[in-house]
Parts: sequence; C-alpha cells; structure tokens
Amino acid sequence: MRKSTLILGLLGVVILAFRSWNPGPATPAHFPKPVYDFARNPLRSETVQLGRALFYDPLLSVNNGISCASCHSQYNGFAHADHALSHGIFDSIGTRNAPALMNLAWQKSFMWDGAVNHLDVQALAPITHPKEMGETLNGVIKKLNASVIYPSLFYNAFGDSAITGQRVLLALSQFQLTLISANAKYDSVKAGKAVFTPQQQRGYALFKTHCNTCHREPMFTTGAFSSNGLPVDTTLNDYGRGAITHRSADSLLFKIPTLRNIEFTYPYMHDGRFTRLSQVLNHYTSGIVPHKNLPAELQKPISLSPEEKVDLTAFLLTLTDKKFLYNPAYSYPKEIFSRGRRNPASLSSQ
Amino acid sequence: MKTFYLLLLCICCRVAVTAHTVQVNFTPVFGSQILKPGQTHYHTSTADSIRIEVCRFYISHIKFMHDKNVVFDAAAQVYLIDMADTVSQQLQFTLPDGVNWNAISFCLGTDSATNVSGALGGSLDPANGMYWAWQSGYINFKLEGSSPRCTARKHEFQFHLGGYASPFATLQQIRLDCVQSSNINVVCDTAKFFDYTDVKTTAAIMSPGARAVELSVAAAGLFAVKP
Repeated sequence: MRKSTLILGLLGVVILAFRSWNPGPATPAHFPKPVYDFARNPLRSETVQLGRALFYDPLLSVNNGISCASCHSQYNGFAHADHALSHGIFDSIGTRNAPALMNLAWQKSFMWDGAVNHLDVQALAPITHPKEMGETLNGVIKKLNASVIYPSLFYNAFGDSAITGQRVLLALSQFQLTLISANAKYDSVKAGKAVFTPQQQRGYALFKTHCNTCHREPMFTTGAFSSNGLPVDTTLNDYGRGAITHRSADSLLFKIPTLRNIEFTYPYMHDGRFTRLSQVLNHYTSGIVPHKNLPAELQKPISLSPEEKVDLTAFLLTLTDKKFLYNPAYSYPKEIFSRGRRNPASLSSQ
Repeated sequence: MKTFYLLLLCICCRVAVTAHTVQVNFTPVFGSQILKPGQTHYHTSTADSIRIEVCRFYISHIKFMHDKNVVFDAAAQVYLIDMADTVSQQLQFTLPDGVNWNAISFCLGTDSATNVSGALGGSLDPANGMYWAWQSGYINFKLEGSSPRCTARKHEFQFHLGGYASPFATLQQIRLDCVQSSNINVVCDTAKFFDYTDVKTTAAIMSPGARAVELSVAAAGLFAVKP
C-alpha cells in the first residue's frame, strides 16, 4: 500500500513537472526542432504581452516616432510593404529591406548578413542604428521606467518591476517567438486536409526541382547565406556576409529568406529591388550575373516557360497564411496601451 | 552501515573545512598613477599627453593555480571592471583553508559560449555598454580618451576590442605568478597600450578583425601583479 502510494505520488510529481515544463510554443508537426533554446527564456503569456507592447511602442526610438512595427507590419508578414529600404527616425532611409518576421525560433542567425547571432540581441541593432531608431538601450530603460504602464507590465512578466536591458530583450524575443506561420494552404495539404489544384501541383513540382535546395520546405529556407546573382547596386555597395566575415568567399552572400507569405512581403531581395514576384522569377531565368561565389544551382539559368512561371507562382501563393496575417494576438495591443495614461512622449506619436 | 559512517565522516570533514577570503584588486593605472576619468597623463615614449575617459574590461574564468595545477576554480562569474567604479575593481573569493597557490589565471574578455547565449544579465547586460549592437558580441576591452597627437575628430581615440569568432577571436588567457596572500593587486597599465599602437595612425578600432586581435594580445600584456 505504502509502496503504491509512493509510486503514484512520484508519478504525479513527474507529470506535474512535465506539465509546467512547457517552455516553448507548440511546434507544428511538420516543422523541425526549434533552434531557439526555450529553456533559457520560457514563454509566459505576461512576458509575451510585454514584448508585444514593446514591439508596437515608438518609445523605443530616440524621437518616439518609430516602433518595430513601423517597418514590420503584420499584414505584410511583418515586413514593410512598398518600401525597398527600411525607414527610420527623422525620415532616414536605411540600406536594406526590412525582412519578414516569422518562425524566428527556427532561425539560426539574423539580419541579411547574419551579423546578429541570437534572436535576443537582434533588437539592439535597429534600436541603436542612427538611421532606424537611433536610441540606446539605456535610453529605452529610462523611458520605460518613467512610463505609467511599463513598471507593472515588467512586474507581471518577471515578478518584480526592475527594468533591465536583459528583460527588455527577453520580452521582445518572447513576442517574436510567438509569430509562427504554419497554417498556409501548403501546410493543410501536408497535413492531408486539403489538396493542391492541378496548377498548384504543377507549380509545387517545379518548386521542388528549381527552388527547394535553398528555399527548403517546410521552412522555405535553409537559413544559409548565398549569392543569387544580383548585380551590386552601386548606390549601396552592399557586399553582405563578406563584410562580416572578411572572407572573399562570403562576398555578396545574403541570408536566404523564407518564402512563406511571400505574396505579402514585397518588395523582394535584400535591397527591395523587385516589387513583383514576376520580376523575381525573371531574375532567376534571365537576370543572373555571373559571380565567383554563385552557387552550383545557379551556374546555369533556371529555364521556365511563361506557363511554368504562372504555375510556380500559383504554388508560391499557397504559402500565404491568412490566420497568421490576421491573428489578433499579433496586432497592435490597444488593450494594453489603453490601460494607463501613456506618457506624453509616446502618446504624441500614436 | 559502514558506508553510512564513512559518508557521515566525509560530511563532517567537509563542514570542518574552514574558509577564508581572498581579494583580488584590478586597478587600471597609467604608469605609476591610478587612472581617474578625465585626468591627463604623460606618455614618455611618444612624448605626448594622453587623457583617458573610459577604461572598462571583462575578467572571467578566474582560477587559483599551484604551478600548473588548478587548485581553486572560481570560473562561474564574469566581472566588468570599470576605472570609474572602484567597487567593480575589488573581486572577492572564498577559498578553503589549506589551499596553496602561487599564481592566478584569468581571461581578459568573455568566452565564445557567453557571446552566443542571447540576452544575459548582471555584468553581461547589454545595457552596460559593452555589447555590440550591429554585429553580435561583447566588447572585451574598451579604452577611450583623447590626445593632441590623435588626428581624429576632437583628437579622440576609441578602442573597442572584441570578437569571439575564428579567426578573429580576441579572448586572452593571462597567468600571473604571485605570492599567496589574502590581498592581490593586479594593475592594468594603460600607458603600455600606447607603446603598441600610435593614436596618430589608428584612432579607432570598433569591430572584430585582425587589428582587434593584435591589440587584444597587447592589452593582455598590460596586466601585472604589483607587489
């Protein structure tokens, strides 16, 4: 009797331990294991909400004018529609296209050149960049301390109201880690809940032949860096990864972006030079400029007939995830910001 | 039962071991003068005056050694030493009595694991100003100031030495022999730094690379035990 009680008790403890040990979001069944170590920053709804508030708050910029969401809008898959290069404070224009934000827990490095090695520290780059938000982490902490709403949001998230750089960054990570896109038609087809149209099916076959090596499913990227034969824009002279590693073999290499929600993440490429998907496909069929770092797959131009381009595009549109693009949990947190009177600085820019 | 008594004996022995505190002071100096923000110093070999505004660096992996053996490993903590904050310069360790040591070993900087672990707190909080925003990684050693000899804007020089990835890893392992004592004084003589580099030709190193590695090796040479 005593023995069985003990065993039952132990079993209970183990079950409870597992129940509370759920540090990350549910991983979609067809996704690989996340790269992000959730054990170090276990998701809590209060911390996610704090991160969401920070993500949408222009207080993060030096003139309280630009928030993360200014260049990462939900309806564009958290990219910046119509803007080839990122915008910043005082009408500054940056040098790269704001990338789409989704499935970041599966991403190994950040920024087009992989200069940032961890999601937690990614936000430091736009916060401090003079052409983006132009702030300092300490400046942000000072403003957060002076605000009406944040001390209590930090208290709810971390158990005390101390606002530190680490906590600001961990909370921003938490919100961004919830931005999971895994409900496109493609995903339903993979789950056996939908079927491609014949045209989408033909496009999928073309995708697997021509694109899947770099834009590998189901994440639609390998996360690696590659040259794709774009000629250098001499007004930017951006050599991508090469400037980080100082290796000539990395010159003109840029991060392979995911193709999920590509319908809405225009303009395309690291400098946003293409506004339409047709221009992107035309680049791969007839626009590639030879370069010593061009990968084997692109040494010969991809051959696609006009009909095949249409089919391939039809497949790419099956990567649109409306549930993601319109998920209210990712939107502007009206309910948080209306809770307290905002400090005048951030109120003025709403 | 025998094992139980043996275990008890071990626990008793363990409790019986008393400990003592060893304080290791890291003092940034310029020659024989203790560094104070905004003070002007005279650098003999270049016949130049140098004003140091910022001198901050990370010390990690502190170990007490006896010849080649580690006798006490205090590795867990990473310390940020700041010339403007004397408290940050006084590191205290609790060593068991009876440990004999004749050297300390430590690293100047943060190791690569620390550099790829995301947002950390305490001395490693990016808000401390020792973290690079645009290219991830800690600044291991920061020295800023001015000198009439420096031709950059406002005659200011800025050395932010860091980088964890091969081939530009800057972490430096330093070993200093010393006589066992409860108080060890380590100086970081910034005057020597200007023997390695001329602010007239190089006024700023702000990113990982070959020069950052060279100057990090030089920075490791600034440390010495002061009797």
